[in-house]
Parts: sequence; C-alpha cells; structure tokens
Amino acid sequence: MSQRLFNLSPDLKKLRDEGFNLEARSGFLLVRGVPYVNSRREVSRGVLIMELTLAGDVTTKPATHMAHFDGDHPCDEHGAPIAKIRNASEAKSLASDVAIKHSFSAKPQVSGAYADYYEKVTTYVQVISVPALKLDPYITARTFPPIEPDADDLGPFNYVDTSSSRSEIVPISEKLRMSKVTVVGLGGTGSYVLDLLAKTPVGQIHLFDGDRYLQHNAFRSPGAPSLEELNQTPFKVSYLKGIYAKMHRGIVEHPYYLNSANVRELAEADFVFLCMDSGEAKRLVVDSLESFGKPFIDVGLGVSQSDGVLGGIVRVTTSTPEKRDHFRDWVSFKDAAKDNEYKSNIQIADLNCLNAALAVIRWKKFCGFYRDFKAEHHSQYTIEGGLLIHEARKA
Amino acid sequence: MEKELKDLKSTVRVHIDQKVFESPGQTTGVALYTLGSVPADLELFREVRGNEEGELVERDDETISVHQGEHFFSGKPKVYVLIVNGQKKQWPQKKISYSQVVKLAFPDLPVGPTSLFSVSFEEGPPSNPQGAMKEGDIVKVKDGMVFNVSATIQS
Repeated sequence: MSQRLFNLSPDLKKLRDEGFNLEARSGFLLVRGVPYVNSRREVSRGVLIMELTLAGDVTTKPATHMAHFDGDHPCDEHGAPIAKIRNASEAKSLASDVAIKHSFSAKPQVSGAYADYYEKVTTYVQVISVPALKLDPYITARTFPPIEPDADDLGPFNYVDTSSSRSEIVPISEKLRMSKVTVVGLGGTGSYVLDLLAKTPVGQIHLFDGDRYLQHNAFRSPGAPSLEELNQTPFKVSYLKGIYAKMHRGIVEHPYYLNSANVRELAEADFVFLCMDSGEAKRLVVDSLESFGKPFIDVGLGVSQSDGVLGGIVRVTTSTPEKRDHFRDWVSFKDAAKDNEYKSNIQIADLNCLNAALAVIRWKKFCGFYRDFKAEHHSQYTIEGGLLIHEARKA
Repeated sequence: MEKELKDLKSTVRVHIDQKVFESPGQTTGVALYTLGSVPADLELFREVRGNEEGELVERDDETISVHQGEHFFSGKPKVYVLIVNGQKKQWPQKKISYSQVVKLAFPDLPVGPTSLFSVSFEEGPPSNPQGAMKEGDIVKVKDGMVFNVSATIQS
C-alpha cells in the first residue's frame, strides 16, 4: 500500500484521518467495510471500488462519477435495491486483483462532477449506509483500521504513527528522530520513560539494568504482567522489551549493570536518561557522560511519611555540554543504602509516571519539539503544594 | 518638610525601653542596640501604630532612619512557626539556611554533606516567596512558611 499516495493526496489523507479503511490497488481505490442492508434486510459490509485518477503520485479530480461494489446490492431498510444509484449488476474483474459485482452511478446534481475523492467516497458511503444506520445506529464505515508501513519504509515502528499524521505534527515529530537514546535503570521511573520513548521516532532505545522484574515492580511500571510472566522472573530489560518491541523495532536490551569495564558503551548514545540509584555507580556514569560530551537527564523522587500522610518531591536535573556546572549542586552521589534514618524506599506509580513525563518533556524541549522559555536545568515538583519550581536557567 | 530636614541633619530624641536618648536621624541597628544597651539575647522593636508586636530592628549595619519622639522597646526574639514536611517547627531567627532546614526535617541525621536532599519552600516573605534551596542557600522566613525536604534519589 503506498503511504506516499495517501500522505500527499489531501482528499485521501482526510479520508484516512477520518478512519476509512482505504487501499490503493492496480489503479483503483478500495474502501472496505462499508455498511449496507441487503435484500434480506440484514446489515452487512461491502467494498466500494472506484478508479483512481492520478497525476504523478497524487490524486486529481475523479474522471468519472461512477463507482463499483463488491457485495450484494445495497438496499433500503425494507430490502429494496437503492434505485438512485442502481446502474448495472455484472460480476467481473476490473483488474487481476480487483473484482466487482455491481456498478453504480450517482452524479452530483448541482456540479455534475465530484471535486475530489473525499466528496466522491463520502457521498457514496452516505447513500449506501443510511439504511444500515436505521437498523444499527452505531455502525460506521469509519473503523480506523491499523495501518502498516510500506515494505521499503525503514522507520522505527511496526505500524504507522497515525497519531502524529492526524494531528498534523509530523514535521515537528521529526525533531525527535535521534539515532540512539539510552535509559539507564528500568525501575519505576525508567519503565515509564521507556513507555513514552517507544512512542517517538528515535532510531534505537538502549536499556541498561541488571535487575530482575519482581512482583513489587509490577505496581510501579506501566501495563500489567500476568502471574505467569512474574513467575519467570525475567530481567527487567527483557520483560519491558517484550512489551514495547510490539510497537518499536529499535529496542535493545542490556541485562547488566554499568561499571568501569563497560561504561564506554554509553559513548554511542545521543541522549541518556539516568534513572538509577544514587551511589558510586551513578558517579561513574555521570563522570563518564560528561567526559564523552553527552547530554543527559537525571531523575529522582523522595517520599516520606508523617502523621499517616505522605509527602515528597519529584526532581528532574538536566546536564548538557553547554551547561554542567549546576549539576552537583542539585544531585548527590551519596550511597543512600547505607543510611537508614531518612531513607525511605517509598515509590508510588503515579510519582514514577510524573517523574518520567517531566523528564521526557524536558528532553523534547532539548530537541526543539516543545517551545522552551526558561531552559531550566533543574526542576522540583512538591507534592504537598503542587508547586513546580525551576532553577539553573540557562543564561 | 522642615521637620524631616531637621531629622536628617541633626540628632533626634528617641525612647528606648522608656528611657530617653539622643540619636542621629540616620543611624544603624547596631548603633541603636548599643545606645539602648540591649542585651545580646534580646531584640529591639520599633513601635508601630496598629501593630502590637512592633517592627523588628535588625542588629546590623544597614542604615535606618529614626524620627523625633519614636519609641523602641526590647524583647525576646520573635520565634517563627515554620511548617516543615507538614510538621510545625519553631525557628527563632529571621533567616534559615539549607542545612538548617534539613536538620529541622530530620533532627536525627548525622552531621555531614546533605545534598541528597531536595528542599523547596513556598509562602515565604516578599523577598523570597517560593523556590528551591541547595547547599549554602539562605532564605528569609515568615510565620507559616512551608518547607519540603526529601532525599530525591528513588527511581
């Protein structure tokens, strides 16, 4: 199926954005799943077929007002064939892979010709489907079928990002096309970061974590594992790749921790999300990323209890080759595991999710996807008052 | 106009703890404290009509104006009530530092570098109504100021 034809022809793009099931084949446009009523007063679905008049790769004004149908002849709600479109009923092949049973003629009364394929398709679908709507008010030809990329399209997804095309932000989304984004640490926040990155057109997403996915992790990561999946105690990176590889082709798992022997693997990344525990390993990673000249975002949250109520802060700290001096003012490498008086390991899924969302939004500002007024390199969200404070603004 | 000019040029008569003193019209907090022999553990307040507590005169070198006939009195330092991680805490000074805030939140913490903690505040005085604090930062306080302290290291 030619995505180029559908993307560049405004009338076909509009039809697809509205959810019509379209296919271009051998010079014909096929509209599948068109509801109609047959002579036995049953609701069924057929295929509306019409020739495609093209100029180069895009549509022009339809050459004819005729259309064809594969299915029984559409009838009104009483089972009588719709007279106003009826023309000929002869089963034949218009091309080696296009077969029809009926032909229609519905000439636009005022203009005499359809201006474009949007008008032609919607007019025919309307006439054919109105009786079906009387028997089933919720039925529609606008079914939003999944759209696969063309075989020669080497993009990162297994199916086309129609969310961006529908909302007309494809050129802006292209700014997110980094070759390689790395996530270090796939705990609560890291897994939500992956969830969001998998929906962007980055080339590859590398996941580093030596931990296994355990029962408590299920309560702060997106989606939901089955009991069987939990029983297998997979590596976190493998479990998560299993989910997100359904959508994104470029997920690479590294089921091990970073140390001085392998930290060089980060040198290939275009951007890194640090979602790891505080400690010497983090110091090594930060020192290395700085020496490799990489931009990265560090996240962290802290929750504590008092009087039976929770409070805390969610933090996002950004470091780029242009601005690094603030980083150690706001981020510590102290090994928290050693001090128990104030450490709390409370993490809540909504806070992990918020932390990830704030981090990804900040990355998108870095990419030029979102307008960036403050260029803040450190942000803190305080749960109690809902205050979001930005510091370390770029001069 | 005449009265103000007089104040600026010369000395004025003021009352400190009901005793009469002569002071330059332009003076400093330190000078006033010394003039009135205010003990080290007390603070000086300027009587302000309508304010029972009086306005604090800081014991520092900043230039302040005093006027003919003004009354000052000494008293115990004002203790502010701060809310730290949801808990009311008393704080006897006009300013507080990052480490002091962390100590208020976690009194049993061993002394040492504390940058693991993120600190945020709101409902502060006009000079610093809201913001984040890092090691070395100092902010002015006011009654009811809200602080949050958290070791933001979980992910």
